[in-house]
Amino acid sequence: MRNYFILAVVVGIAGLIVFSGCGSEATRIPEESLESLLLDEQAGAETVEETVTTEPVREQPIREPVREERVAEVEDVSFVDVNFDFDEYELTAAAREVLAEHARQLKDNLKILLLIEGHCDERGTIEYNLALGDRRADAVKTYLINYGIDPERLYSISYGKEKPLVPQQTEDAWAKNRRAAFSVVEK
Amino acid sequence: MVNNLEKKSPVLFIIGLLCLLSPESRAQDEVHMKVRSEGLRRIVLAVSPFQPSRQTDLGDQLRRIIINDLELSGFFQIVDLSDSENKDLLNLRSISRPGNWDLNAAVLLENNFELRGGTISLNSRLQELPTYQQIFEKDFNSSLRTIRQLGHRVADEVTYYLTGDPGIANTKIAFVTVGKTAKEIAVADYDGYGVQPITSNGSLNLSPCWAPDGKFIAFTSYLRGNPDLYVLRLSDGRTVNASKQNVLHSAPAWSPDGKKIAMTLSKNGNSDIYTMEVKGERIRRLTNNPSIDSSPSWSPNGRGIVFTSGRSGTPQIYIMDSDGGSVRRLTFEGSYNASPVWSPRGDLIAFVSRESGRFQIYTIDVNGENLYPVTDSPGNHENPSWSPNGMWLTFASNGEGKWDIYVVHWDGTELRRLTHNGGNVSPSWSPQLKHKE
Repeated sequence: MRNYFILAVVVGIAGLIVFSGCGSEATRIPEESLESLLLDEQAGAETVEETVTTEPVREQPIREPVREERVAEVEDVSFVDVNFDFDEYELTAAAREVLAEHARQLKDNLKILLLIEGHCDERGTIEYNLALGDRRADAVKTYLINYGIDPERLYSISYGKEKPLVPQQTEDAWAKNRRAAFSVVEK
Repeated sequence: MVNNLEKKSPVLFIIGLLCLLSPESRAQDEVHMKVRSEGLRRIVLAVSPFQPSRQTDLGDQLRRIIINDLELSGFFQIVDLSDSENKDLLNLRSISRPGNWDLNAAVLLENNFELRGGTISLNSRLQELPTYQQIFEKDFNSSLRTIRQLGHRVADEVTYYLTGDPGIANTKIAFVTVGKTAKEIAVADYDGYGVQPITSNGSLNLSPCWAPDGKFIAFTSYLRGNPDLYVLRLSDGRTVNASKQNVLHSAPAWSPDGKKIAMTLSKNGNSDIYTMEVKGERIRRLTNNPSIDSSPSWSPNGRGIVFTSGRSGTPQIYIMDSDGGSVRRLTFEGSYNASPVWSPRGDLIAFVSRESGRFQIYTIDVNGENLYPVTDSPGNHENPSWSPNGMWLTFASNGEGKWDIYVVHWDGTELRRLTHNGGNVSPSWSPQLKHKE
């Protein structure tokens, strides 16, 4: 729960940075129940005579935490990606070495919170890869916790194959995209 | 990880191998070719020029929409009588005609078209040939603004009258448009016209899924930083975050009775299938398995769910009861079978299968037999979705260089490209949308 609150604060800060330049009015999405949405629906008569055209509602754009902004806030720390084998979420020996170093940095900088992103290469379906990315992020999170990092400092998220690092369709590119990536936030 | 399937898997492997080698699977190709050569049994439908014979641009446009819809329905062989080659066909007395169509089995569609102010009036009549006996007549009115919907309405009424099938001209396809930093959901008519964005929140929006009444779309969005479940009302764009937990929500699938949404929730890295009641939002867990379980799709009677599971070691297709019981595996060939969708006719599951490193679309009977290749072309083919009459599949493919939405008949024929500008994925075919009388 606390991690979610911290993330909300982080996102809020990111949002403020984004909005300072925006002139448009931000409309909040009401936090209402699904049932009210369904019960309250207009009786749209969809006959040929009266057709309602749908206007997209301009929602308040909230960006996910931007990695570059994050790293600039905290000095002297660097959390490089760890990579995974194809269709795998278990940590390789190389990954474990990198994570040991990440754990050390986390222990040396107690103010840091870490966002762990799980990613996949483009092969495989969108939905299965969202789940696989989640497994990868969780494998990293579990490893760091076992290394003694307070779970409250770690947050994980999956982007599946939706945010590749490199766009090429080569084995090398795919290997780079199969990754856990990190964003740091100073408390 | 020990489970019963692991113990059975050598047996399953042998069975699978036998299936590959058996004459049965080679016969698939023969069946495929037989269907192709026979073609669909189409009704010959001759379409007269609009009366009055003075062709206004609008009349011509409406006529072309109707003809296009009738051709795309898959039920008709259209003879356009305003085509100079065809215009004397009805007057010919001889039996043999170009194209070998039999006048004695044909139907004639005639329309009287009138434009007054901003309103179109259309009187449509069907006549049996060669007797010219009238079998159907209907009047339609529409504003100029909704001329495409008027054409779709006429085509679907003609289709319904002649075949009993409600047709697809009134339907739409939702899909994801990929931008530089955002992925937004859009909706287009089934023929590709009228693309309209329905989200514009600058975030990642994925996996749209229609409600069975056609009035809502459920989807996953990273709008608030976490992949949450959202439901959007199409009439005004109002959107609700239906997530109750801070976990990953993906692959929503609305039940046929509209009362539940099945989806994948990932907690602590473990993805399982849950259902959420639309009213009250009570959540029930259906799978409880350390492997990935994802991509649920309901049977048309709501009693079964087909889904993807990694529980046997690789992603495969499974079926379970809608309460999570009686799980059985459906696919045994191939090392990656996923994204299953249950046909609205109840008899077939369409899914993607990885073959030589690329995904193709297949169908399989609900009892696991008759594996059938729908696509066999370059590139990847992903996220199939059925038309509401179970005749067509839409899917995304990058086979022609860019990711775009395609439509194909379930037997693999009549392939057509719906979008052309690239960056279009994850299509979802709407239910019937027309006003029921």
